[in-house]
Amino acid sequence: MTVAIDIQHLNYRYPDAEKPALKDVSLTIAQGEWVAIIGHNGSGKSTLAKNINGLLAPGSGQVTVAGMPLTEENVWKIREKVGIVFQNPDNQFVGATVQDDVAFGLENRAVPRPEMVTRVHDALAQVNMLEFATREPARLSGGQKQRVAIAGIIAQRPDIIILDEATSMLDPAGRAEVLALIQELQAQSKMTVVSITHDVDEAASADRVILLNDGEVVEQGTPAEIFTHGEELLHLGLDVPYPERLKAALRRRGVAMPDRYLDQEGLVKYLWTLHSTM
Amino acid sequence: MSFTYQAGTPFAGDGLKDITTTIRDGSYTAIIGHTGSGKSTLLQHLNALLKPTAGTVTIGDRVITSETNNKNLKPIRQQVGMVFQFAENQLFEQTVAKDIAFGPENFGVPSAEAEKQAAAMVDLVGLPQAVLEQSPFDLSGGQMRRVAIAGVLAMKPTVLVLDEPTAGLDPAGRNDMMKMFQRLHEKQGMTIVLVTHQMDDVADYADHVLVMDEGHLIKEGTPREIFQSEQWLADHQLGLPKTAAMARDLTKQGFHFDPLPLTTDELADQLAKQIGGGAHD
Repeated sequence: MTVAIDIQHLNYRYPDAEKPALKDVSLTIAQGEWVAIIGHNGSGKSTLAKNINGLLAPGSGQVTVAGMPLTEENVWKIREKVGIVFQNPDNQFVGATVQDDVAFGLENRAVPRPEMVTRVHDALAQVNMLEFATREPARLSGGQKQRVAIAGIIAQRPDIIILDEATSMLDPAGRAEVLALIQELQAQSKMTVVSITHDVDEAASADRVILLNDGEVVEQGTPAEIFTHGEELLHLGLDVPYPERLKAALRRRGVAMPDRYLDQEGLVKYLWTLHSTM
Repeated sequence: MSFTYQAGTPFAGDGLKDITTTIRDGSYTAIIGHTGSGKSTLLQHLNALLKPTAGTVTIGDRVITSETNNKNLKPIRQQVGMVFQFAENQLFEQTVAKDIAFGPENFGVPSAEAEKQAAAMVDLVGLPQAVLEQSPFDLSGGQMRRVAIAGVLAMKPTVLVLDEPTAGLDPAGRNDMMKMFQRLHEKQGMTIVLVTHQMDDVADYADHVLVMDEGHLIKEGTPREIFQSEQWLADHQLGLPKTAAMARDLTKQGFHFDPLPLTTDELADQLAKQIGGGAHD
């Protein structure tokens, strides 16, 4: 396993804050892995993301990205490896057209023009937005805007892409569209994906889910392992997949339900077995 | 009523086409439809921010037509409170109290009185009194949105119009906010009009649903009527509430549901009977 991100005993406190935002966080993310970080608002998710690419400087502890320790000296090299897609699609556009916007990051890195043209073209093709290349970003739908933002990131060929609630301001169609795109990109390029999210469907797509609460890692495991803690998740202000909610409601009515995590298809099958043995 | 954007210019575009409907006093009406279907355009007619190009919109006893003068619309704006998407972007004052008092002061309420009202409003939206003297910009996103809603409620509207009020909030924040609107609806008899993409919220809270598509009102009815046909919804790029989708999958396996369950509890009740667990109750 090649390690993409390694975090050891990370602590962070915002200036003037009473409580630390991150407390002794240690975790390792493998290259090519898709990790979802979940937790309610204020649990430290976004602070963690900003500590990974040096937008915030760790209070104490060690952050290593793509083999490089995060230091003042390395921070620019690390940012070349890590792209972040933020929550609000309207706050991350600088270009007058879609293609200018995708080119912006490359211009900053003085990529030669012929290569820039190819990379912009390829990135827009990958997110399926080529036909919008000369449009104004302001006139796109939310899902389209986030696809352009993602194109701007992948044009820079990062090893790691961080989605900081990148789908939370989109309508269900836009959300599904962006999620499908990430799945496709990850399958093709084996990019490391760190998705910070409230959306259970997005978390369920990950290889591993890390649960943060009050700045601490309280649980990590496969989506199936995490989602069996239904009641606990609800208690932490999180959502659970629908089948877990229905299981809880049936238990309250005296119907015995298995402890293991069942997705919708699994639960339908299980209930059908109960039904047909009556 | 119909509405054309930039009527009489080369940029004219259809917004709403021949809409006829009634939103009843004390109802909880949801407006659904995919992005660009005309939901938000319709919303802006509910307090005369837009005026119909043809036809009439009657709000209380005021009739709004294309001819209506922009003067004297204040009573309507007071009666129908409008909470826009990402309402927290509209906060601007130095303190929460001043921000909430801004609307009433504009309507002639003396400052001292308006700030006293602000204290009652933060209570109503479930924020502690301590926020009153804080800058709204020091609050969390969910709290800022509550302050913006408190500012609308301070106008003492009888109708509350909400354009995707929970977008971008975390699950707990979303749930708290929907419960707050339900409280206003039940305890204060407020009429609620909710534009949403969350079919679960429609199933859980609304008693009447309007479905928009390409500027047309294509269907209206109770949530149960609207969610009856999955194919019809899919044709209009709309989904089912999670409970209804689960009931559909179970029906394919030989379960039978009547009426169509819309909430987890309704589904669990009907299921428990069919698999025998209910016998223990």
